[in-house]
Amino acid sequence: MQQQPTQAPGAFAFALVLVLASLVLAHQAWSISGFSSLSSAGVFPMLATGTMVVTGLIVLLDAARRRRAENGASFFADVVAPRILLFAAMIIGYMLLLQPLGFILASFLFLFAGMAFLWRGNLLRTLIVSIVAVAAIYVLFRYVFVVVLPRGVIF
Amino acid sequence: MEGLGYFFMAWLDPSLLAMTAIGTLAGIYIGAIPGLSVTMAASILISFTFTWDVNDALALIAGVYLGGVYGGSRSAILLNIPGAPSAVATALDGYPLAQRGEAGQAIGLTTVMSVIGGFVGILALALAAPLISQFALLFAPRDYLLIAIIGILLVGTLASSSLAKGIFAAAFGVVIGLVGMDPMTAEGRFTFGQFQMMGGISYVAAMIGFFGVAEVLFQMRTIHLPSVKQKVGRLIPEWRLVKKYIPLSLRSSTIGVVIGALPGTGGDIASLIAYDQAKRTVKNPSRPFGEGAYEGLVAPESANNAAVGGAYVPMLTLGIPGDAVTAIIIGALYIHGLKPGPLLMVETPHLFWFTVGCLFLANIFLLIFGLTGVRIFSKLVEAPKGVILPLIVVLSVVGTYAVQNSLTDVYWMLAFGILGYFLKVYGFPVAPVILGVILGPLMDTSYRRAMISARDDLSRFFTEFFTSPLSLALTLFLIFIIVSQTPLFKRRSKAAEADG
Repeated sequence: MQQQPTQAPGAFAFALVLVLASLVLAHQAWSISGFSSLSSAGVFPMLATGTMVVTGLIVLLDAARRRRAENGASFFADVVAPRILLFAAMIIGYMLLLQPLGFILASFLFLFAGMAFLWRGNLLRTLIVSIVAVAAIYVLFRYVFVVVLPRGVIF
Repeated sequence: MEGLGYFFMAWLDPSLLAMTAIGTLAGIYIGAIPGLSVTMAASILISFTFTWDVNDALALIAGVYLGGVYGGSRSAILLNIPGAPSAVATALDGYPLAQRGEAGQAIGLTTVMSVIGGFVGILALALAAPLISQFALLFAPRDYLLIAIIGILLVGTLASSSLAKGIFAAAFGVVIGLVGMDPMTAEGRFTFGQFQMMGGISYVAAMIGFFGVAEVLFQMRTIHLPSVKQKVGRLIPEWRLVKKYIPLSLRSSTIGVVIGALPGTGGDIASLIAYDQAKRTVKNPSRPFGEGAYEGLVAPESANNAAVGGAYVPMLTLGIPGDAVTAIIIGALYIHGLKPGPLLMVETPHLFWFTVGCLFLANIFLLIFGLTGVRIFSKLVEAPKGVILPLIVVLSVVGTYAVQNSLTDVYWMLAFGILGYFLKVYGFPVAPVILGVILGPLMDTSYRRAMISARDDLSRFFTEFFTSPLSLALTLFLIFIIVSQTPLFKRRSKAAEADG
């Protein structure tokens, strides 16, 4: 195993979260049918979650050992830098708006906001590109691929 | 003879012909745009085909897969950014060639070699799959269990710098695949008492989350890197060059087929191994490797397209994916009501010959599209990420929602996307997760059938791994993979390398 000399900040905390989540899943696996028989519904889930716990612990120990080698940047400047956080928030907002606004309006708003934020071209061009993109996607998928898309109150 | 009719089916039906052509063209462009991978394209595109006829879907998928594996080489050569993981090795010599003003020559040679590799892979598929599926009818459940474990271990060890991270990712995928009602006893597993979870988690949601949204967030980290333009000259390669490299291409293709056919390993690993092999065996390369050697293009590009045909072999004969893309295709086949496995060839041989025919056709389209239209192409490759990333998010939503018109699936997709981002940042490979999702249920039922046939007796269960010749061979291979990952073995091979 060729170890990377540095790791992204927060690796230890993330590994810890993974181990804890694996333990919760392992408990769930055990609660399916316990150790009642070797071919019961819960055996394979226990093997899988057990593997997660063991490998998770190895990753955790390794991350602890290399904690000093983290590449200097802070968690909030690198892993969840403001621009990544903002774009992720836009994605979450988009998915929450799908229900009330419907696909067309929500997608248009998201594309316009997303491109305005990432592309930084002039606003008129961004507006035109997002309108054309939504129209093209809608026509292609609704009428050519005959896919059902979320409908909102208006559309 | 009947098979021949199905082989030519896509060639004679205009709509199937068009599907294959569109798939190939889409695959090339998607593969070429950095940030759009074949796996992402396959996962989003396949979700739209669920309402289609299965033949249309198979034709499109064959095109996308072959085109996408090739397309990655374009941006590797022109921008030094591999458009797909299978083109990582291509950039090593492709970009230096472009810098010397030989971008056209490099693209042309790559195209021809990819097509040769593709044909070798398809030939291997056509010859080997019927034999293997006959043989596979003899497989016991424990053999399936062994093959699935081998696949997961291979992808876990090769896809990441850390074995533990690879295996963790695969085990996590298995757990996702097991969520819901147990098909044998109807007990709920990992449902947290929620009734809605009894139906399981849509694998499309997991797939698009990990390969679509997670990738978009990950690319945000490098969004402002500028790219460098290259001039492209004549594309048709000189015949003497093609002739000279045919032997190397065939050799690399063989490596590609074998690696592709191993469960879990695909074009990305095949191309790296073929590159390494060429580097060690070619005595007088056109230029030193890494400075623009033609050999450095021929080897990985033949191998990764040959791996496509190879990866179809375990998928169609055993129902075990050869790589992440075939894992997605397996899921699609299930949704179309087909059951990939040894019986697929017995019950629906036409489907097999049809698939081979589509791949063959897609390979011809690859040659045509690969040697034309480079101007529009370079414009598209330079499309700003600021436009592409939001579009991928919208397409991910459409793809996830299309499968069962469920917003819950979209929320799952989002959750997997965010989790996938962190996994990627901290060096966990995501391909084993998808392999785990697909293989999880198969491993679970194989394990339980094997255990039931051993009457829940642990010692009898393990003895059977050593009594059947096939199980013994698989067990030994599995032990070899595990041992080769231990520090002891590695130290010895490192010492041997230092000596040599």
